[in-house]
Amino acid sequence: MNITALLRNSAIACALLVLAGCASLWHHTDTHTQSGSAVEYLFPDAKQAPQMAPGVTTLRPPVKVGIAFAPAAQWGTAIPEQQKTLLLEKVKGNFASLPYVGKIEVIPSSYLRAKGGFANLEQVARMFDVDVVALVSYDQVQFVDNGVLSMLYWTIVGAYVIQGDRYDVQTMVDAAVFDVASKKLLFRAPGTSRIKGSSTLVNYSEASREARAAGFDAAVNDLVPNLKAELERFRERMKTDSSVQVVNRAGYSGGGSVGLAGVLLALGLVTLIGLRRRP
Amino acid sequence: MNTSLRWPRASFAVAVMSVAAISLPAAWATQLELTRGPLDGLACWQLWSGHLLHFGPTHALTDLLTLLIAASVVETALGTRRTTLLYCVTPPVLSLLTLLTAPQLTTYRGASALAVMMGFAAGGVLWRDVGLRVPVVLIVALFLVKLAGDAAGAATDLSGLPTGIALAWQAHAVGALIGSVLALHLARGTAAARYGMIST
Repeated sequence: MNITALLRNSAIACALLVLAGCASLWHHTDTHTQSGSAVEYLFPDAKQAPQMAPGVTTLRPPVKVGIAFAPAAQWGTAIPEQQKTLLLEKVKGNFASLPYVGKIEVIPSSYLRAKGGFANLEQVARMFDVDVVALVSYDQVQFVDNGVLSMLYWTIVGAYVIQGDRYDVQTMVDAAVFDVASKKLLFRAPGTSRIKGSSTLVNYSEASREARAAGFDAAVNDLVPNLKAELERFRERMKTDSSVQVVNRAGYSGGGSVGLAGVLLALGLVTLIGLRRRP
Repeated sequence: MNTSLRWPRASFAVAVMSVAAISLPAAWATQLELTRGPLDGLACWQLWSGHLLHFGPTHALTDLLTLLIAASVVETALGTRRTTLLYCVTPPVLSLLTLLTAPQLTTYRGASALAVMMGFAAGGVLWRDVGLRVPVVLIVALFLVKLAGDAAGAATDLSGLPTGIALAWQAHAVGALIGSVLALHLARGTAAARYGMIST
Protein backbone atom coordinates (compact mmCIF):
# COMPACT_ATOMS: atom_id res chain seq x y z
CA MET A 1 0.00 0.00 0.00
CA ASN A 2 1.53 3.30 -1.01
CA ILE A 3 1.26 6.53 0.93
CA THR A 4 -1.38 8.03 -1.42
CA ALA A 5 -3.71 5.07 -0.97
CA LEU A 6 -3.23 5.13 2.78
CA LEU A 7 -4.05 8.82 2.98
CA ARG A 8 -7.14 8.39 0.79
CA ASN A 9 -8.48 5.52 2.89
CA SER A 10 -7.79 7.44 6.08
CA ALA A 11 -9.61 10.49 4.73
CA ILE A 12 -12.64 8.40 3.79
CA ALA A 13 -12.71 6.75 7.21
CA CYS A 14 -12.45 10.14 8.96
CA ALA A 15 -15.21 11.58 6.80
CA LEU A 16 -17.47 8.63 7.61
CA LEU A 17 -16.77 8.98 11.30
CA VAL A 18 -17.43 12.70 11.25
CA LEU A 19 -20.63 12.34 9.26
CA ALA A 20 -21.84 9.47 11.41
CA GLY A 21 -21.06 11.55 14.42
CA CYS A 22 -23.13 14.40 13.03
CA ALA A 23 -26.03 12.08 12.44
CA SER A 24 -25.68 10.71 15.94
CA LEU A 25 -25.83 14.22 17.33
CA TRP A 26 -29.23 14.70 15.70
CA HIS A 27 -30.70 11.58 17.27
CA HIS A 28 -33.81 12.17 19.44
CA THR A 29 -34.15 9.96 22.44
CA ASP A 30 -35.70 12.41 24.91
CA THR A 31 -39.34 12.87 25.96
CA HIS A 32 -41.32 16.04 25.49
CA THR A 33 -43.99 17.08 27.98
CA GLN A 34 -46.63 19.81 28.02
CA SER A 35 -48.90 20.23 31.00
CA GLY A 36 -51.20 22.60 32.82
CA SER A 37 -53.14 21.56 35.88
CA ALA A 38 -56.32 23.12 37.28
CA VAL A 39 -55.44 21.73 40.71
CA GLU A 40 -52.03 23.45 40.71
CA TYR A 41 -53.67 26.63 39.49
CA LEU A 42 -56.55 26.70 41.99
CA PHE A 43 -54.89 25.10 44.99
CA PRO A 44 -51.22 26.09 44.80
CA ASP A 45 -48.87 24.60 47.41
CA ALA A 46 -51.80 22.84 49.06
CA LYS A 47 -50.62 20.44 51.73
CA GLN A 48 -54.11 19.22 52.57
CA ALA A 49 -57.21 18.46 50.58
CA PRO A 50 -59.16 21.68 49.96
CA GLN A 51 -62.03 22.21 52.38
CA MET A 52 -65.19 23.22 50.59
CA ALA A 53 -67.54 25.39 52.62
CA PRO A 54 -71.04 23.88 52.61
CA GLY A 55 -73.51 26.15 50.91
CA VAL A 56 -75.94 26.49 48.07
CA THR A 57 -74.66 27.02 44.56
CA THR A 58 -77.00 29.32 42.67
CA LEU A 59 -77.11 29.07 38.89
CA ARG A 60 -78.92 31.76 36.95
CA PRO A 61 -79.72 30.56 33.44
CA PRO A 62 -78.92 31.42 30.78
CA VAL A 63 -75.55 30.74 32.39
CA LYS A 64 -72.55 32.78 31.26
CA VAL A 65 -69.60 30.45 30.81
CA GLY A 66 -65.88 31.10 30.48
CA ILE A 67 -63.56 28.45 29.12
CA ALA A 68 -59.79 28.45 29.50
CA PHE A 69 -56.78 26.19 29.60
CA ALA A 70 -55.22 25.96 33.04
CA PRO A 71 -51.92 27.85 33.01
CA ALA A 72 -48.72 25.83 32.85
CA ALA A 73 -46.90 25.63 36.17
CA GLN A 74 -43.49 25.74 34.47
CA TRP A 75 -42.46 28.15 31.77
CA GLY A 76 -42.06 26.54 28.36
CA THR A 77 -44.40 23.61 28.92
CA ALA A 78 -47.55 25.29 27.65
CA ILE A 79 -49.40 24.75 24.40
CA PRO A 80 -49.08 27.64 21.91
CA GLU A 81 -51.82 30.21 22.50
CA GLN A 82 -53.13 30.01 18.96
CA GLN A 83 -53.61 26.27 19.27
CA LYS A 84 -55.36 26.72 22.62
CA THR A 85 -57.79 29.19 21.10
CA LEU A 86 -58.62 26.85 18.22
CA LEU A 87 -59.26 23.96 20.60
CA LEU A 88 -61.42 26.04 22.93
CA GLU A 89 -63.40 27.44 20.01
CA LYS A 90 -64.15 23.86 19.01
CA VAL A 91 -65.51 23.11 22.49
CA LYS A 92 -67.45 26.37 22.47
CA GLY A 93 -69.07 25.52 19.13
CA ASN A 94 -70.51 22.33 20.60
CA PHE A 95 -72.20 24.02 23.55
CA ALA A 96 -73.03 27.55 22.39
CA SER A 97 -76.47 26.63 21.03
CA LEU A 98 -77.77 25.20 24.32
CA PRO A 99 -80.74 27.31 25.45
CA TYR A 100 -79.61 27.49 29.07
CA VAL A 101 -76.15 28.71 28.10
CA GLY A 102 -76.15 32.46 27.65
CA LYS A 103 -72.67 32.94 26.24
CA ILE A 104 -69.34 31.18 26.18
CA GLU A 105 -66.21 33.31 26.44
CA VAL A 106 -62.86 31.88 25.44
CA ILE A 107 -60.42 33.23 28.04
CA PRO A 108 -56.81 33.60 26.85
CA SER A 109 -54.26 31.95 29.14
CA SER A 110 -52.40 35.22 29.52
CA TYR A 111 -55.18 36.35 31.86
CA LEU A 112 -54.64 33.38 34.16
CA ARG A 113 -51.67 33.66 36.48
CA ALA A 114 -49.81 30.45 37.34
CA LYS A 115 -50.85 29.31 40.83
CA GLY A 116 -53.30 32.22 40.87
CA GLY A 117 -55.96 30.33 42.81
CA PHE A 118 -59.61 31.28 43.08
CA ALA A 119 -58.66 34.92 43.66
CA ASN A 120 -57.27 35.10 40.13
CA LEU A 121 -60.21 33.09 38.77
CA GLU A 122 -62.68 35.54 40.34
CA GLN A 123 -60.83 38.50 38.80
CA VAL A 124 -60.95 36.89 35.37
CA ALA A 125 -64.62 35.93 35.78
CA ARG A 126 -65.48 39.53 36.64
CA MET A 127 -63.45 40.84 33.72
CA PHE A 128 -65.13 38.52 31.21
CA ASP A 129 -68.54 38.71 32.95
CA VAL A 130 -68.98 34.96 33.40
CA ASP A 131 -70.58 32.95 36.24
CA VAL A 132 -69.05 29.58 35.55
CA VAL A 133 -65.57 28.70 34.29
CA ALA A 134 -64.56 25.48 32.59
CA LEU A 135 -60.85 24.96 33.29
CA VAL A 136 -59.17 22.56 30.93
CA SER A 137 -56.18 20.77 32.40
CA TYR A 138 -53.83 19.02 30.01
CA ASP A 139 -50.94 16.66 30.16
CA GLN A 140 -49.11 15.49 27.07
CA VAL A 141 -46.08 13.26 26.96
CA GLN A 142 -44.21 12.47 23.80
CA PHE A 143 -41.95 9.41 23.91
CA VAL A 144 -39.28 9.04 21.24
CA ASP A 145 -37.49 5.85 20.24
CA ASN A 146 -34.87 5.19 17.62
CA GLY A 147 -35.69 2.17 15.51
CA VAL A 148 -33.14 -0.24 14.07
CA LEU A 149 -33.37 1.59 10.77
CA SER A 150 -32.01 4.72 12.39
CA MET A 151 -28.60 3.06 12.05
CA LEU A 152 -28.78 4.12 8.43
CA TYR A 153 -28.75 7.80 9.42
CA TRP A 154 -24.97 7.66 9.29
CA THR A 155 -25.20 7.44 5.52
CA ILE A 156 -26.59 11.03 5.50
CA VAL A 157 -28.92 10.02 2.67
CA GLY A 158 -30.63 7.75 5.22
CA ALA A 159 -31.36 10.75 7.41
CA TYR A 160 -33.54 12.08 4.62
CA VAL A 161 -35.33 8.93 3.53
CA ILE A 162 -35.31 6.41 6.38
CA GLN A 163 -38.10 6.81 8.96
CA GLY A 164 -36.01 5.65 11.87
CA ASP A 165 -37.43 7.86 14.64
CA ARG A 166 -40.63 6.60 16.25
CA TYR A 167 -42.77 8.77 18.46
CA ASP A 168 -45.71 8.00 20.71
CA VAL A 169 -47.77 11.02 21.85
CA GLN A 170 -50.13 10.43 24.77
CA THR A 171 -52.49 13.27 25.62
CA MET A 172 -55.01 13.76 28.38
CA VAL A 173 -57.31 16.77 28.72
CA ASP A 174 -59.76 17.22 31.55
CA ALA A 175 -62.43 19.92 31.71
CA ALA A 176 -63.50 20.84 35.24
CA VAL A 177 -66.47 23.21 35.45
CA PHE A 178 -66.43 25.50 38.48
CA ASP A 179 -69.06 27.88 39.80
CA VAL A 180 -66.93 30.92 40.55
CA ALA A 181 -69.09 32.43 43.30
CA SER A 182 -69.35 29.26 45.41
CA LYS A 183 -65.97 27.83 44.22
CA LYS A 184 -67.78 24.54 43.72
CA LEU A 185 -66.81 21.92 41.16
CA LEU A 186 -70.03 21.29 39.26
CA PHE A 187 -68.84 18.46 37.03
CA ARG A 188 -65.82 17.30 35.06
CA ALA A 189 -65.09 15.20 32.01
CA PRO A 190 -61.90 13.76 30.48
CA GLY A 191 -60.64 13.26 26.95
CA THR A 192 -57.65 11.20 25.89
CA SER A 193 -55.76 10.34 22.75
CA ARG A 194 -52.72 8.41 21.61
CA ILE A 195 -50.93 9.21 18.37
CA LYS A 196 -48.13 7.01 17.08
CA GLY A 197 -45.90 7.60 14.10
CA SER A 198 -42.43 7.69 12.70
CA SER A 199 -40.37 10.12 10.73
CA THR A 200 -37.05 10.67 9.07
CA LEU A 201 -34.32 12.36 11.04
CA VAL A 202 -34.54 15.65 9.21
CA ASN A 203 -38.34 15.80 9.33
CA TYR A 204 -38.56 14.71 12.94
CA SER A 205 -39.08 18.16 14.44
CA GLU A 206 -41.97 19.04 12.12
CA ALA A 207 -43.57 15.58 12.32
CA SER A 208 -43.44 15.46 16.11
CA ARG A 209 -44.88 18.98 16.38
CA GLU A 210 -47.75 17.98 14.10
CA ALA A 211 -48.28 14.81 16.13
CA ARG A 212 -48.49 16.82 19.36
CA ALA A 213 -51.06 19.15 17.78
CA ALA A 214 -53.01 16.16 16.43
CA GLY A 215 -52.87 14.61 19.91
CA PHE A 216 -54.57 17.63 21.46
CA ASP A 217 -57.08 17.77 18.63
CA ALA A 218 -58.02 14.12 19.10
CA ALA A 219 -58.17 14.47 22.90
CA VAL A 220 -60.54 17.45 22.62
CA ASN A 221 -62.67 15.49 20.13
CA ASP A 222 -62.86 12.77 22.77
CA LEU A 223 -63.62 15.33 25.49
CA VAL A 224 -66.65 16.95 23.82
CA PRO A 225 -69.05 13.96 23.95
CA ASN A 226 -67.87 13.11 27.47
CA LEU A 227 -68.53 16.69 28.55
CA LYS A 228 -72.00 16.61 26.99
CA ALA A 229 -72.81 13.38 28.81
CA GLU A 230 -71.55 14.80 32.11
CA LEU A 231 -73.60 17.96 31.57
CA GLU A 232 -76.73 15.86 31.10
CA ARG A 233 -75.93 13.88 34.25
CA PHE A 234 -75.40 17.16 36.13
CA ARG A 235 -78.78 18.45 34.94
CA GLU A 236 -80.44 15.28 36.23
CA ARG A 237 -78.52 15.51 39.50
CA MET A 238 -79.60 19.13 39.95
CA LYS A 239 -83.23 18.04 40.27
CA THR A 240 -82.46 16.17 43.48
CA ASP A 241 -79.37 18.01 44.72
CA SER A 242 -80.50 20.64 47.19
CA SER A 243 -77.05 22.26 47.16
CA VAL A 244 -77.61 23.51 43.61
CA GLN A 245 -80.38 26.01 43.03
CA VAL A 246 -81.60 27.38 39.71
CA VAL A 247 -82.88 30.96 39.85
CA ASN A 248 -84.10 33.08 36.97
CA ARG A 249 -81.94 36.12 36.38
CA ALA A 250 -83.42 39.44 35.39
CA GLY A 251 -84.05 39.03 31.72
CA TYR A 252 -84.89 35.36 31.34
CA SER A 253 -85.97 33.12 28.49
CA GLY A 254 -89.47 31.84 28.85
CA GLY A 255 -91.42 29.11 27.17
CA GLY A 256 -95.15 28.87 27.00
CA SER A 257 -95.78 25.23 27.76
CA VAL A 258 -99.11 23.79 28.83
CA GLY A 259 -97.43 20.49 29.58
CA LEU A 260 -99.12 17.16 30.07
CA ALA A 261 -101.75 18.75 32.31
CA GLY A 262 -102.84 21.00 29.43
CA VAL A 263 -103.20 18.03 27.08
CA LEU A 264 -105.33 16.18 29.65
CA LEU A 265 -107.57 19.21 30.27
CA ALA A 266 -108.12 19.67 26.52
CA LEU A 267 -108.88 15.98 26.19
CA GLY A 268 -111.38 16.42 29.03
CA LEU A 269 -113.21 19.09 27.03
CA VAL A 270 -113.47 16.88 23.94
CA THR A 271 -114.51 13.87 26.00
CA LEU A 272 -117.48 15.91 27.26
CA ILE A 273 -118.79 16.15 23.69
CA GLY A 274 -118.43 12.41 23.24
CA LEU A 275 -120.26 11.70 26.50
CA ARG A 276 -123.03 14.16 25.61
CA ARG A 277 -123.64 12.54 22.23
CA ARG A 278 -124.42 9.18 23.79
CA PRO A 279 -128.19 8.48 23.98
CA MET B 1 -124.62 18.55 20.15
CA ASN B 2 -125.77 18.00 16.63
CA THR B 3 -122.45 18.09 14.84
CA SER B 4 -119.44 15.80 14.86
CA LEU B 5 -116.03 17.34 15.35
CA ARG B 6 -114.29 18.21 12.12
CA TRP B 7 -110.61 17.94 11.33
CA PRO B 8 -109.15 21.38 12.23
CA ARG B 9 -107.41 22.18 8.96
CA ALA B 10 -106.26 25.69 9.83
CA SER B 11 -104.93 24.56 13.22
CA PHE B 12 -103.25 21.56 11.59
CA ALA B 13 -101.47 23.93 9.20
CA VAL B 14 -100.25 25.94 12.21
CA ALA B 15 -99.06 22.72 13.86
CA VAL B 16 -97.22 21.61 10.70
CA MET B 17 -95.42 24.97 10.51
CA SER B 18 -94.53 24.68 14.16
CA VAL B 19 -93.13 21.16 13.75
CA ALA B 20 -91.13 22.29 10.72
CA ALA B 21 -89.70 25.14 12.78
CA ILE B 22 -88.06 22.61 15.15
CA SER B 23 -85.49 21.78 12.48
CA LEU B 24 -84.60 25.40 11.75
CA PRO B 25 -80.94 26.34 12.31
CA ALA B 26 -80.29 27.95 15.69
CA ALA B 27 -79.45 31.30 14.05
CA TRP B 28 -82.83 31.41 12.30
CA ALA B 29 -84.69 30.37 15.44
CA THR B 30 -83.03 33.25 17.30
CA GLN B 31 -84.39 35.65 14.70
CA LEU B 32 -87.89 34.18 14.87
CA GLU B 33 -88.39 33.76 18.62
CA LEU B 34 -90.33 36.53 20.35
CA THR B 35 -88.05 39.15 21.87
CA ARG B 36 -88.74 42.61 23.26
CA GLY B 37 -87.81 44.05 19.85
CA PRO B 38 -91.42 44.49 18.66
CA LEU B 39 -92.07 46.82 21.61
CA ASP B 40 -89.47 49.12 20.02
CA GLY B 41 -90.92 48.62 16.56
CA LEU B 42 -88.23 46.09 15.57
CA ALA B 43 -88.61 42.56 14.14
CA CYS B 44 -92.40 42.74 14.20
CA TRP B 45 -92.71 39.30 12.54
CA GLN B 46 -91.75 37.85 15.91
CA LEU B 47 -95.25 38.73 17.17
CA TRP B 48 -96.46 35.81 15.01
CA SER B 49 -93.41 33.58 14.65
CA GLY B 50 -92.68 33.35 18.39
CA HIS B 51 -95.79 31.18 18.79
CA LEU B 52 -94.52 28.71 16.18
CA LEU B 53 -91.13 28.07 17.81
CA HIS B 54 -90.43 25.69 20.67
CA PHE B 55 -87.52 24.77 22.89
CA GLY B 56 -87.60 21.12 21.89
CA PRO B 57 -89.76 18.24 20.64
CA THR B 58 -91.41 17.53 24.02
CA HIS B 59 -92.34 21.18 24.44
CA ALA B 60 -93.76 21.27 20.91
CA LEU B 61 -95.62 17.98 21.31
CA THR B 62 -97.60 18.98 24.40
CA ASP B 63 -98.41 22.48 23.09
CA LEU B 64 -99.48 21.33 19.63
CA LEU B 65 -101.53 18.38 20.92
CA THR B 66 -103.44 20.71 23.23
CA LEU B 67 -103.89 23.22 20.41
CA LEU B 68 -105.23 20.60 17.98
CA ILE B 69 -107.61 19.04 20.52
CA ALA B 70 -109.06 22.38 21.63
CA ALA B 71 -109.10 23.77 18.08
CA SER B 72 -111.08 20.78 16.82
CA VAL B 73 -114.02 22.12 18.87
CA VAL B 74 -113.50 25.78 17.97
CA GLU B 75 -112.79 25.21 14.28
CA THR B 76 -115.89 23.01 13.95
CA ALA B 77 -117.91 25.92 15.34
CA LEU B 78 -116.16 28.77 13.54
CA GLY B 79 -115.17 27.13 10.29
CA THR B 80 -111.72 27.09 8.70
CA ARG B 81 -111.81 30.62 7.25
CA ARG B 82 -112.77 32.32 10.50
CA THR B 83 -110.27 30.20 12.44
CA THR B 84 -107.53 31.20 9.97
CA LEU B 85 -108.48 34.82 10.56
CA LEU B 86 -108.26 34.16 14.28
CA TYR B 87 -104.70 32.84 13.86
CA CYS B 88 -103.80 35.97 11.90
CA VAL B 89 -105.26 38.49 14.35
CA THR B 90 -104.73 37.08 17.84
CA PRO B 91 -100.97 36.19 17.93
CA PRO B 92 -99.75 39.83 17.97
CA VAL B 93 -102.23 40.64 20.74
CA LEU B 94 -101.08 37.62 22.76
CA SER B 95 -97.41 38.50 22.16
CA LEU B 96 -97.70 42.16 23.13
CA LEU B 97 -99.75 41.44 26.25
CA THR B 98 -97.28 38.71 27.27
CA LEU B 99 -94.32 41.08 26.90
CA LEU B 100 -96.12 43.80 28.84
CA THR B 101 -97.15 41.50 31.70
CA ALA B 102 -93.69 39.89 31.95
CA PRO B 103 -91.21 42.79 31.90
CA GLN B 104 -88.18 40.53 32.60
CA LEU B 105 -89.02 38.13 29.79
CA THR B 106 -86.40 38.61 27.08
CA THR B 107 -87.27 35.75 24.74
CA TYR B 108 -90.36 33.61 24.36
CA ARG B 109 -91.24 30.50 22.37
CA GLY B 110 -94.34 28.32 22.41
CA ALA B 111 -97.82 27.76 21.02
CA SER B 112 -99.29 27.39 24.50
CA ALA B 113 -100.83 30.87 24.58
CA LEU B 114 -102.71 29.96 21.40
CA ALA B 115 -103.60 26.56 22.87
CA VAL B 116 -104.98 28.09 26.08
CA MET B 117 -106.91 30.67 24.06
CA MET B 118 -108.44 27.86 21.98
CA GLY B 119 -109.17 25.87 25.13
CA PHE B 120 -111.16 28.72 26.64
CA ALA B 121 -112.91 29.35 23.32
CA ALA B 122 -113.83 25.65 23.20
CA GLY B 123 -115.23 26.00 26.71
CA GLY B 124 -117.40 28.84 25.37
CA VAL B 125 -118.71 26.60 22.60
CA LEU B 126 -119.58 23.86 25.07
CA TRP B 127 -121.12 26.32 27.55
CA ARG B 128 -124.19 26.60 25.34
CA ASP B 129 -125.09 23.04 26.28
CA VAL B 130 -126.56 23.42 29.76
CA GLY B 131 -125.68 19.84 30.67
CA LEU B 132 -121.99 20.48 30.07
CA ARG B 133 -121.65 23.64 32.15
CA VAL B 134 -120.61 21.95 35.39
CA PRO B 135 -117.81 19.85 33.86
CA VAL B 136 -116.65 22.87 31.82
CA VAL B 137 -116.48 24.95 35.00
CA LEU B 138 -114.53 22.13 36.69
CA ILE B 139 -112.02 21.95 33.84
CA VAL B 140 -111.59 25.73 33.83
CA ALA B 141 -111.13 25.67 37.61
CA LEU B 142 -108.48 22.96 37.30
CA PHE B 143 -106.67 25.06 34.71
CA LEU B 144 -106.79 28.14 36.92
CA VAL B 145 -105.33 26.12 39.82
CA LYS B 146 -102.51 24.99 37.51
CA LEU B 147 -101.98 28.59 36.37
CA ALA B 148 -101.82 29.79 39.98
CA GLY B 149 -99.31 27.02 40.76
CA ASP B 150 -97.17 28.02 37.79
CA ALA B 151 -97.29 31.67 38.85
CA ALA B 152 -96.26 30.68 42.38
CA GLY B 153 -93.24 28.85 41.00
CA ALA B 154 -94.58 25.38 41.64
CA ALA B 155 -93.97 24.31 38.04
CA THR B 156 -93.39 20.61 37.57
CA ASP B 157 -91.15 18.79 35.14
CA LEU B 158 -94.25 18.05 33.07
CA SER B 159 -93.83 21.40 31.31
CA GLY B 160 -91.44 19.83 28.78
CA LEU B 161 -89.20 22.88 28.97
CA PRO B 162 -85.44 22.37 29.11
CA THR B 163 -83.51 23.34 32.22
CA GLY B 164 -82.90 27.05 32.40
CA ILE B 165 -86.05 28.05 30.53
CA ALA B 166 -88.67 29.54 32.78
CA LEU B 167 -92.34 28.79 32.37
CA ALA B 168 -93.90 31.96 30.98
CA TRP B 169 -97.22 31.57 32.78
CA GLN B 170 -98.13 35.15 31.83
CA ALA B 171 -98.64 33.93 28.24
CA HIS B 172 -101.18 31.40 29.53
CA ALA B 173 -102.99 34.06 31.54
CA VAL B 174 -103.16 36.28 28.44
CA GLY B 175 -104.34 33.29 26.37
CA ALA B 176 -107.06 32.64 28.95
CA LEU B 177 -108.12 36.30 28.81
CA ILE B 178 -108.39 36.45 25.02
CA GLY B 179 -109.98 32.98 25.00
CA SER B 180 -112.59 34.16 27.50
CA VAL B 181 -113.52 37.05 25.20
CA LEU B 182 -113.94 34.58 22.35
CA ALA B 183 -115.87 32.25 24.66
CA LEU B 184 -118.33 35.03 25.52
CA HIS B 185 -119.00 35.46 21.83
CA LEU B 186 -119.23 31.75 21.09
CA ALA B 187 -121.35 30.96 24.14
CA ARG B 188 -124.15 33.14 22.88
CA GLY B 189 -126.77 30.86 21.45
CA THR B 190 -127.21 32.73 18.23
CA ALA B 191 -123.51 32.83 17.45
CA ALA B 192 -122.99 29.17 18.29
CA ALA B 193 -126.04 28.11 16.33
CA ARG B 194 -124.94 30.21 13.38
CA TYR B 195 -121.69 28.31 13.26
CA GLY B 196 -123.63 25.04 13.24
CA MET B 197 -122.06 23.57 16.37
CA ILE B 198 -124.76 23.93 18.96
CA SER B 199 -128.39 22.98 18.75
CA THR B 200 -130.53 25.72 20.22
